[in-house]
Amino acid sequence: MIKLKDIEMRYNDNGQEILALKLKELDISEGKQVAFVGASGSGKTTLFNLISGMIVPTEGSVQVNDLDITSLKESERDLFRANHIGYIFQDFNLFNEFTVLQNVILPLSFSKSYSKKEMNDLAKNVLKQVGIEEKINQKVKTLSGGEKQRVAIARSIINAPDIILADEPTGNLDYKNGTKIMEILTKIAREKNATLIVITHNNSQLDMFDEVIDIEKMNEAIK
Amino acid sequence: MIFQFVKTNILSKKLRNFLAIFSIAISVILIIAVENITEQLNSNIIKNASYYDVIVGAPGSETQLILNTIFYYDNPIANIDISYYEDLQKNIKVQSVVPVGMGDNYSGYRIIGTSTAFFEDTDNYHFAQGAAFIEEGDAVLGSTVAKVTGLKIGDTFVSTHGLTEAGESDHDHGDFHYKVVGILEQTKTPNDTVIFTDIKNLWEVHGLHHDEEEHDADVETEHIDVPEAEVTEDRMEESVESSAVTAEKPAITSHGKSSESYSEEDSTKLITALLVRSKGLSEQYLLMNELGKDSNIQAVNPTATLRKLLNTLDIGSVIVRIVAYIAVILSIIMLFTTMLSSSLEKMKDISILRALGANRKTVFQIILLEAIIIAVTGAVLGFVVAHIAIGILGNYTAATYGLDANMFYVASGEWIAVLVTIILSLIAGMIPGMMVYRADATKYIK
Repeated sequence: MIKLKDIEMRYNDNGQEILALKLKELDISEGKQVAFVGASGSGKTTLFNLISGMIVPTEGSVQVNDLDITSLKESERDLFRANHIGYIFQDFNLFNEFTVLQNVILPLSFSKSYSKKEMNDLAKNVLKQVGIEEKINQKVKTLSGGEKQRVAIARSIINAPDIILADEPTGNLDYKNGTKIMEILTKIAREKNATLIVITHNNSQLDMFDEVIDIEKMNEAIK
Repeated sequence: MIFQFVKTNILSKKLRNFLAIFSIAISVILIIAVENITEQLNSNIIKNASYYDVIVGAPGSETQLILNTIFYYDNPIANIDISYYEDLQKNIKVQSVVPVGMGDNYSGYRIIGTSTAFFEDTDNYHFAQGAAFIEEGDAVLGSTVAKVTGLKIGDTFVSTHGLTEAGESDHDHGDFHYKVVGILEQTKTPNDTVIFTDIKNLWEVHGLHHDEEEHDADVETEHIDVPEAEVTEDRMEESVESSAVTAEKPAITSHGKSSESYSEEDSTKLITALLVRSKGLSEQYLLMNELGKDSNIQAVNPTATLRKLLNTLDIGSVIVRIVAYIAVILSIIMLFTTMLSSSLEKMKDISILRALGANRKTVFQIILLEAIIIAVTGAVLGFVVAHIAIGILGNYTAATYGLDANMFYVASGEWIAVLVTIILSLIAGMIPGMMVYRADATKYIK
């Protein structure tokens, strides 16, 4: 369960304070698949960063499974992210000089201690789930866009996260690849009972989600 | 994983990082070159001169006397009479005294007349083959001489007049044959580059030479090298004349004796200098005082004189040292710009790592580790290359000048210099590291 309450997010822009997000309340149940929609600048990415603990709100609280992450120290939030959050980006954000395996096991190296064998086994398992296990030792730079996003999905689920945050995961893919990626993502999230939150501008994919939240309408800062 | 990330970072910008490593290596090489070679050469110079505490020679430049007597450089100032040798042998303050006479050369290697006490006095001389000279004409070769000339025990040779490169001379002494009876082990001192013989052999050659009526008039008759006092740079003609009549020119004698009062035989018994080892510090002091009263000679302490000389030369090494440290600062600035641009380029990658759960400490470690690897690689590379170069240079100077430089010797200032280079490099890496540490990761990821 994700609970955001009385959120205010202010930024200091050259000495001028800007209110970017004001949200009275937002609850997302465990295991739900939710799409965040809204125009650019409506606060979708800020919400992602709040949920992941990358940033803390100026006011208000963010609770994930009864844990108030706004009360955690930064290093604790980093560990929380490594153990409970899976991140997928529009630009894939993989390390091109690394192999598929090296990219996928990255979050594990920041969380609990895993042996090399455990990390490799987990990586093989998640790569199999996204259908790209045969490319495990290939450098990421040799992969196609669709394959890269599969690697990114594999990386986001290797730590068995409670929440998967996907910021326009199909934004750089063609329709066919985009649909396939979304199918894989929603299927895996459901199998793992992970809460899936996706920022998307693709209305044709909205049917795949349990709930669609228009952040633009919720954000009182831009009303 | 951190190491993998750093390795990828370094390898992805090979040229830039290679240049940073190279510039640090060059700086370290410069520093080591200055610190190590200066220290080794100074210490070897002092060591070579330290066994004997008093050197007695003709009045003139103290430095010239020592350089000529200990290092066999330059020409002798003038000769002194054997009576000083005889008197010092009887002096109760003296533990040992060894005569030194500068003779002619063989293949460009100087022949030094001395006594067997020269080899017995210290543990520095060990015979690789044969033994010290006993019979007339016996000669002992320094290791470099034996190696280069190929002379073996039992071989004979004749000396060539004066001291010229590779023995080029207009005449030799075919009437006096030296016989190799001993070859010294390598000492890596100037003694490797000379031939030792009994000083009497120099006098013998001298005596024979006097009998050579056909001897060219433009060649000196004195076989103990032409004293510097008798040859001035701007009066070459005069020097030839002077040299030609050296037998008649009075040598400096002790006890107010005039050289004219010596017989022909006496006048050939000239020596260049005396190496004296006194019984103790107080004896040395008294001896110096005693000998200092005689205006016909000078008595110098070789160590003190060389220290003075080296201190003067140190001004030069200070300048080189300053240049070396400027090079270090420049290489650190280069490393700083390398790390800064690398950090700015990697800001997005670092932010991705942060999103995946890496904490600020981890990303700081990545940047710092990169700087450490570059700095340490540069420093180690510089250290190794510098010491290999010192080894090569040392072999050359040992063979040519008898001044060794050991590649495994580490100068006292060297570690400090290498450490300072690494610390400065770390600071150069820390600043970009702090920038990354403080950066707002959310700004760089999409």
